[in-house]
Amino acid sequence: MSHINSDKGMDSGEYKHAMARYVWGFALSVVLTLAGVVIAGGGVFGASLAWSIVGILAIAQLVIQFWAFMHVDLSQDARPDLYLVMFTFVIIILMAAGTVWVLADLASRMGMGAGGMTGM
Amino acid sequence: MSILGSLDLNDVFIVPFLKEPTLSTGIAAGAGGIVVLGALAVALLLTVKGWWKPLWSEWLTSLDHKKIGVMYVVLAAIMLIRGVLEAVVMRAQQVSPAPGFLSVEHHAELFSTHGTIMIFFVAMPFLTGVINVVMPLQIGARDMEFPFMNAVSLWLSVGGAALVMASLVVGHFETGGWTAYPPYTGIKLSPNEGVDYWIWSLALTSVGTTLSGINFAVTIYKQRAPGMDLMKMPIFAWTTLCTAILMIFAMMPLTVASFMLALDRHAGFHFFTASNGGNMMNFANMFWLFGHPEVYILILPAFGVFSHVIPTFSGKKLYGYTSLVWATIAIAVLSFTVWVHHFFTMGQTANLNAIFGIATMTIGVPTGVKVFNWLLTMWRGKLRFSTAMLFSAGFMFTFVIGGITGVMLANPTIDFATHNSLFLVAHFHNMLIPGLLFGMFAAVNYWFPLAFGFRLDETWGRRSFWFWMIGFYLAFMPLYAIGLMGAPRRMAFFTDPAYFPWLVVAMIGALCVLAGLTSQVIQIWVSVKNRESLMVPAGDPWDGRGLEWSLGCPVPEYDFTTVPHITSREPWVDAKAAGKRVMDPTEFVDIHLPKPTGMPILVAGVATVGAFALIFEMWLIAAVCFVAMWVLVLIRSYDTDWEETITAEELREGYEAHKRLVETTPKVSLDDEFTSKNRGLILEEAV
Repeated sequence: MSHINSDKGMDSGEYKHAMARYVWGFALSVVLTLAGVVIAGGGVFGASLAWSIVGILAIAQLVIQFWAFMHVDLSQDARPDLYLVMFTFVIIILMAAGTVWVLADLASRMGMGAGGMTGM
Repeated sequence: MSILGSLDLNDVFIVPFLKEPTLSTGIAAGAGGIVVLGALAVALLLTVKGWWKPLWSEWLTSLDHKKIGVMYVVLAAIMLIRGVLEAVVMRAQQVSPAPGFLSVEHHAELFSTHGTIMIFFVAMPFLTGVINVVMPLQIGARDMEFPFMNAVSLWLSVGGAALVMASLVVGHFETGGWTAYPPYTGIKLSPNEGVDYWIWSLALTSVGTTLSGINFAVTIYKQRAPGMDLMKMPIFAWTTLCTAILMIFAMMPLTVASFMLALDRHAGFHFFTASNGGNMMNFANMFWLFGHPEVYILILPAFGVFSHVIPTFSGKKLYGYTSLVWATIAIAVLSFTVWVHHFFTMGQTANLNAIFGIATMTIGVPTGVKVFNWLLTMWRGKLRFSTAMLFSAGFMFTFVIGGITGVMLANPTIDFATHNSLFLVAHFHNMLIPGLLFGMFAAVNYWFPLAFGFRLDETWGRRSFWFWMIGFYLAFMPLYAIGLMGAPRRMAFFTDPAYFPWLVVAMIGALCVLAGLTSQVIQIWVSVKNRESLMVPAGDPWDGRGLEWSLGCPVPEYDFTTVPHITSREPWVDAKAAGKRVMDPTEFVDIHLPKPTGMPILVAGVATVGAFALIFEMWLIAAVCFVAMWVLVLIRSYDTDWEETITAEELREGYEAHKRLVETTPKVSLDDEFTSKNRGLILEEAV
């Protein structure tokens, strides 16, 4: 990935390729963000469907930004970085999903139902 | 509100005693007095001896990983003395006739500071210090990847410790235990500055620890000697890597939870309040999301230490390297899946508890694998019971008992009966004293020559081991017993006469531990006095196996004259087997080392003053400090003249001098290992 960051020894083809990746990343990020805003504000979908769609858009944007700006892709060069990103996700999912699970479980035992979660 | 916030005269340590002289306030005033007088005595000593300048230029401003490591260990040692003394006072309290000589609040403060100090200001700096000294030497690195950040981490930890010490002199510490669960620690039930002391001292040290974790992980990823792929790394480097990753991910829930608690207390938030949509159970959840990986942050480095001490003093290769590595990785990942076992009784459904119970028992498996690895390493070895080896052997006996009670507690049904009892207290002391302290003591005894060039006195070392070992059993086995009889933890006094004989035994145990600690102080003192006869300038005083023993003792500032090329797991053993007494030099090149700088102390000092201001609600001063801290960091960022060069020529001279020294040092047999004949380079074949 260092060849993208340094100007030295980069021929015009490589430069174009790198530039295209940045532009694509930027464009897709803007599109996905706007789509999220429209869905959240448009009121076309029901609340729970809108939540899910915005969530999926957010994850898609995350992947695109890792690819375009952090140069984490499936190439051999980026493999150690990819592993670290994946490990980080595993831990974050463990923590976040675990927390939701534990708190929802507690809420259900207090007769608050799943609705009790939104109060937190 | 005045600029001094909520600080007033009543907060000064001596005032409560003057107003209401009791034994309890007297002890508090005495402790505050010891801190003040101790600080004055040290300052006086430094002035009289003229040591301020060398201390500042050689140590406090140094960015050398070995010196930073030593300073970490010194911090841990100072705080350990306080932690052990607190334990002795609590034991004494419980054997005196009820209600004892301490007020209930004072006792609560003692167990809260004891826990906070032992975890955050003894265990963490101790293992961070050992890693700092040893890990780069083991992987063939010249320093940490980020030496400046390393020093900032150190001084942030020192700042946190200073705040806990300050709580003896100004104001009070909190009384809610080291876990500080709300709502008790909310502003309504704990209106004074105690909880804020806890929050901000932890904030400083946990930021420092996160930075250390990043530093260790990047160093291991980027700075290994050529040829040392991950599966050729020494086990200690492996456990450091896993610990570092745990540090990076696990400290954050704590930092976030304690900041949320601070917002609740001072900004009217309702994260953990009992009303207005708050949920204090989420604090327990977040705290243990940190707390459980923390347990393995504490224990993994010690596992690494044992994996070097045991092969060295058994004269054998480590048994089952690959399985040990995978066990370490398994423990690191599993440690994020068991946190609920710290609050089985909070009210979750049985199914959820059962799943976490099973996960908890699972984590015992890789730990068991390790114990078998060490046992099989010792099997048919030629064992030499040095102090380090004694601590390792003592660890294995004792840790297994703690592991068994741990698996018992992992069963939610048993946990319901034993939670919040002294059985639990006995269990986690049974894990942490052998699993952490014994490991670090072994590390200090084993690797001390690398930092200072001489061995530690064996006689006092072995005495300290026996005091610690016997003291541990006397102090904590009774707690298992009365815990099962129903004695709850954190009680200021007991009225049940059935507990009394057990508590007396525990008191004797605490005194034994204190004797062990005293022996260690004497050990250091005697060793420094006799350092001439304990010198091992040729290095490798124990017929060691790792790369770190290929260096002369003490290790020079630049660590390696040339970075070796690694082709096997034990390059130093291979070199010695080939009859070499120094590693073959590769290529001498100019190297750059960071210059000493006072900036880390300044940054952390300003942060500490800011944290103190936050504790006493001096918002203006806190804001100024916060800005100043970042301005200092910025100034440092624009400093381009921060390196000094060591030329290839100097390195060559260093190499030649070491080679001459090694060639003129007479060979010593293993039988003379602990005598003054050992000037380094001990070899199995007697001459």
